Amino acid sequence: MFKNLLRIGVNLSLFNTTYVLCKSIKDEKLPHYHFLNEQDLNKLLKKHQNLSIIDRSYTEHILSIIRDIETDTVEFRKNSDRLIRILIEQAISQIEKKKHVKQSPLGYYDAHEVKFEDEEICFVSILRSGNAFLFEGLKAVSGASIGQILIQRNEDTALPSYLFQKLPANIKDQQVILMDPMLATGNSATLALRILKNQGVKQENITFLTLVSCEQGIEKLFREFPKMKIITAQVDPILLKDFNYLAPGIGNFGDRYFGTIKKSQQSGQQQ
Amino acid sequence: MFKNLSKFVCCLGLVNGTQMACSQLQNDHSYNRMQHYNFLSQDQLHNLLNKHKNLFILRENQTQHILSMIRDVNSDIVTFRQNSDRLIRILLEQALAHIEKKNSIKQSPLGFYDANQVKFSDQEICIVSILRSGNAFLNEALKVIQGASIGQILIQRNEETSMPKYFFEKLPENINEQQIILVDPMLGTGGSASMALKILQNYGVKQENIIFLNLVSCEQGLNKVFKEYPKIKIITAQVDPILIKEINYLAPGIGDFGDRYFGTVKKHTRAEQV
Repeated sequence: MFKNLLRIGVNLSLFNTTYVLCKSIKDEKLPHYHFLNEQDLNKLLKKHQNLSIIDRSYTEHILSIIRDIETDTVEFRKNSDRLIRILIEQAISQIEKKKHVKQSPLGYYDAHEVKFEDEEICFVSILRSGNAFLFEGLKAVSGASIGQILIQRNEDTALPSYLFQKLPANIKDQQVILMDPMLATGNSATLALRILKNQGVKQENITFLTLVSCEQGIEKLFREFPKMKIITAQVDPILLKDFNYLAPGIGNFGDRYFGTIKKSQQSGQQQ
Repeated sequence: MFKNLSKFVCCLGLVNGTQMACSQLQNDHSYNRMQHYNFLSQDQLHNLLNKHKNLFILRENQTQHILSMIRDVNSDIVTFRQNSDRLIRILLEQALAHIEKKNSIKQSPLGFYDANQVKFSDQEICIVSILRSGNAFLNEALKVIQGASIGQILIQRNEETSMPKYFFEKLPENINEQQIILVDPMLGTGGSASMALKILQNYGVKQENIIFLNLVSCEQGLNKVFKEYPKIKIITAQVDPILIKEINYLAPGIGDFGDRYFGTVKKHTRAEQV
């Protein structure tokens, strides 16, 4: 009887070790991506004077929840909205201000206020994902105009195709804040910027907001449009060549925000 | 001298009289250029509700003020958005009221009670918006149902032919299992709505699971949609009396809702907005 117990004990421990081994092998299939260090980021900022990266202390926690594959739709939306609001406030802070003298209940003070009216600010969203920015956009600037450009990326070629646009007639006179959550190859953004250029919008009047970007995308945009501004929450280290997805990235932002994730994309398959 | 004075006064009188007549004519002319549209009577509305059992019109006392601000051509964009959002919220709450509920027994701080709660979880509800104008509903929708899925179908109406053109769609994979709330601010000819419903049908969505919300509609649009899809529900804030044939706009209507909500109104159309 003691022999049998011993045998069971040995079998169990063998079973256990193989299970643990297998599990660790399975986890090792997924790569571990490390973010860019301070040096690399400083180099990037020096190279591109019109690039702003939001301070890490603001974005670390929020981005971590957004990236997490386990995060459900409600948490994903809440955290995306927080980050989007931070980006929008940053964009508005960079818009030209005018100085007056105004009166507080106790006395006069030097007032610096944004030079433009609400309607002179135009949020242009690159559909479909860019639309996620509009909810917070309208809370921050309730009278802003909203333009929309539909560009879809062909999943096989990764090349963008333009489908549709609705922009204010006087957009060339407006301060434009262009929005798209991800900046990967930079092809979609380039197409949108060309459309804005055709409408007469000056580069200096464009600020491009994006949650996560990468060096290739940033380079491409600044090469063709050196005078515009880009504000990003974080620069990811890698652009996966085959899928043209950022890594660690967020996955497909539009699908996660709008709840249209295909079952094949869930659990396990990191893009 | 007296004769001259009286001649003078007569002339003045004549001048005054003709001026008054001319200005009267001018006023009548400018008043007639802009139509005054009267809303449907209670009888007409009852007839409509009797004809379509799946049609629901919001109570007038709830919508009168808000709709008036929305229709007003002089409302600025912030007022327009605020009032649209209020009305959209009311429509959404009404839609949720129509979704099937499940009975259970729950506990309040003092004792048990019969609980009737919506049978479905947030993700089982899908708001499908007919871009571009339908997107205005999404703001309030995500406040009411934080976990809802969102589908989008881009259909644009060719301004000359009024025929709808399909551009693009992004819908949840499992939409055939979900409760759908289809949203588009205006129901005019019913062309765009019909196209969107066809797309939903192709995905396997059952008519009984669709509630279609709009701010303003008309009889022609309602008739067309119910003829092709008799089992869906339609909830509208008000039914306008007229669909102007040449331009297929509702009258008095709202104008172009998308342009007004998103601030892309072309300056030259502002004055002639019907």
